[in-house]
Amino acid sequence: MTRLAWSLPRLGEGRSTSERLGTGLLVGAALLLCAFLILPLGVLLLGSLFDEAGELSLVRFAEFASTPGMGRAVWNTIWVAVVVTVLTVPLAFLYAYAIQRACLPLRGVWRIVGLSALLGPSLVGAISFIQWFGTQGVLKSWLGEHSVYGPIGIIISTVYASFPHALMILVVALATADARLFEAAEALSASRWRKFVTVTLPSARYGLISAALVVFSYSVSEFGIPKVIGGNFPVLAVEVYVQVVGMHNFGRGAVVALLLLFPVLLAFLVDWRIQRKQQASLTARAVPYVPRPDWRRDLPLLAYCVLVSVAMLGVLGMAAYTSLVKFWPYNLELSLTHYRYGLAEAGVLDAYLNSLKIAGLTTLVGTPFIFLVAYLVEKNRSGPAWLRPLVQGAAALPMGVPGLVLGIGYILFFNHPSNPLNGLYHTLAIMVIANVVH
Amino acid sequence: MEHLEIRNLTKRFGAFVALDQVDLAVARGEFLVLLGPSGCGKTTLLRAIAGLERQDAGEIFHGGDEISQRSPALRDFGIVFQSYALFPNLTVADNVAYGLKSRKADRGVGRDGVRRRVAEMLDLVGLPGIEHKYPAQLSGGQQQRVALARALATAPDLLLLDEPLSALDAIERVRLRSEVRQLQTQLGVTTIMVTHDQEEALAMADRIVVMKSGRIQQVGAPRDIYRAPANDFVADFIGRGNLIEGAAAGARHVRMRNLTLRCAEPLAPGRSHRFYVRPEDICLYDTLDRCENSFYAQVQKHEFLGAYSLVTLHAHDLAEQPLVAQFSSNYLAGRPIAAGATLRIGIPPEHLRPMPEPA
Repeated sequence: MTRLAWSLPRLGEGRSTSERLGTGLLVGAALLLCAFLILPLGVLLLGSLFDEAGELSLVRFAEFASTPGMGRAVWNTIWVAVVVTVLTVPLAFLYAYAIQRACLPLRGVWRIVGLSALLGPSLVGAISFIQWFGTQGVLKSWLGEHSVYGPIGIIISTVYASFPHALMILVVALATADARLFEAAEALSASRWRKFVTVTLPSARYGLISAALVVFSYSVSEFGIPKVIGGNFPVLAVEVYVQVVGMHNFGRGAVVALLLLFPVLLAFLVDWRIQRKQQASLTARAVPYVPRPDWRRDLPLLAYCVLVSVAMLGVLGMAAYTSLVKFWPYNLELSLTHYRYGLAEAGVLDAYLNSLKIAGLTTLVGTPFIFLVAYLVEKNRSGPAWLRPLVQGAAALPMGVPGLVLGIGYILFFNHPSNPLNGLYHTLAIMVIANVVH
Repeated sequence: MEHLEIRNLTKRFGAFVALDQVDLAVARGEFLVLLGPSGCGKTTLLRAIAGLERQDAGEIFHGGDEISQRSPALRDFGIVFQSYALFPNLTVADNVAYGLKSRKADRGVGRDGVRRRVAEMLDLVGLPGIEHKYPAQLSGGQQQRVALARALATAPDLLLLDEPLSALDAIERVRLRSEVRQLQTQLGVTTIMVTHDQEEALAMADRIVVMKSGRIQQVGAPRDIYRAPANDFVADFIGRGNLIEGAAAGARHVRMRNLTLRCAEPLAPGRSHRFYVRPEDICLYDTLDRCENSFYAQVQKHEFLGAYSLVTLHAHDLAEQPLVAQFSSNYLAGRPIAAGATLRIGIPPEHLRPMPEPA
């Protein structure tokens, strides 16, 4: 009896030590997220709310609204994003459907090709489309009177770049299906189309909404593509860059950044609400659906996959080809000149190595950090009750924040002379931190 | 002409033979139950009838027409699955109306017609007025009733039920069991149900088809299957039973170890037989009673199960292996049975049934 009585409190003690450690780590994670996420964003928000004299006012917003062309930029950003979403989601859905719900040969190949746009930065598509459809483009005639520089170029490049993002979500959304529902529909004599509308679409509904939100956010916050192929077509993301980097107008940049943040956060919020509402659509009794060969369905889908894949590879191929050509489009002789010159002489190699270093450190630091935070949030039951949802919310926030917005927040926050973390500014470390947070 | 006729149906999944040359005839209006352990092929048979599984060989005739190669949509049946399989995104009304809206012939009835039919079906299954609810808002039993309404809405010629009750809790299962049977009798729709629950089969069926390893073991009315199982498997699968060996010592007598018992059925003298005795057919007598076919046995184990008790006995004069008897509590009337006690028990001649031996 005595021994038992002895061991009980000790057991409790051991637990409280680990609990205290857990709470400490959680508080630490919360502090880190505060310093590198919430404060920069807060500064961004404040930056847009104070005028030059440091007074609280909406003068920056007024200024912004009166800036010529800003209204156009806002409108352009929105309608381009809508068009991109309307185009990308059905394209990606059909492609994902072909991969998951049809009996196609080489399914793995179609999948990899469909995701190939992830291989390069978003710019690759834009550059390649210039070469295909630009002034000297091979297929310029396809566009007729229209120039690729402007909304058309932005839209096709963004569709290309956001396609794999939508595809990834939709492939997962279509991965599981309840065969019994298809059988029930079949037994009730439903047509192919009716089965699609009443069974396939509803079960992929959340994936579709999620994909649409991701593509929309992507399009709104994408900055590289309009910069490269947008010509004189003003959009918000470029405007931020112009204001901050070109004109050193951080206040106005902050306003634009907030505007960018707004639709994205809205989308994020909608997604979050839907996720909460989503019930387990597959119960334990569900029978996984396995497609059976049916050429009337498989053949058109295969043709579609081939078509999309050819287009995708065409984009990538053109970019690769151009890099090997002496002086596009005038001297099409193949050579490695660009690689030699670009890498060794113009300092691109340094930049390239820096990029690799940042990416490597981000992986090394970010993965354990994220894992630890996730573990603490999920497994640790100690600490004040409000702490866990706070950390969870803060950790999920950057998903919805465009990188550009975060970057400007960082500039405003860390570049401030009185910030004790000022030393981080202009270093590799801050790049890594920004990437981890993002 | 049979309503549904299955000839020589065979289905393989790789090396596994799910259906092995099955022949079966179903009469119009009857409630047929396919019964067997899991993997016996009963579900595959039902799915082949529905067209959800395509047979490797054999034919299926429905009302004289061959339907073996038709798609499910072109076969006239309604089906209810074990797990309801209601469309989660559609209301109850849309679920029930699903089949009505599929068929071109039914499009003529118009909106009001559909609405009336839905209301009628929901009335039929005892759930009026839930048209606007979604499946997730209903209990399991309610969902299964809606699934039944959906299957019956198109007035199919054949109703297929794939373990419709096994996902429900015990009380709901028994309640729905009698409802389904009553509904079937009322509508007179030919019904084939799959189950692994022998009690369910005995309670609901006009005829039971016992299956094992893709083959039909016995077809018959519940009473016949229970009373006169065709082979060891059926005897074992339906209810409990004791198998006792003995040699015929005359046209109506059998010798078992140190006992000679009378048997109601004629026997071939000299041949050895195996006799099948249901636990509930064993009688309990007063210790000094010397009536026909009675003998002493020692209690090895006594299990009290509420309404009845299961008693494992060893009758040395009868057989080496123990005998299981079932005494209803009312029959025992408070007589205590303790392990080790010696009882006088007996097997009435009409309950000593020789098993049909394979030729």
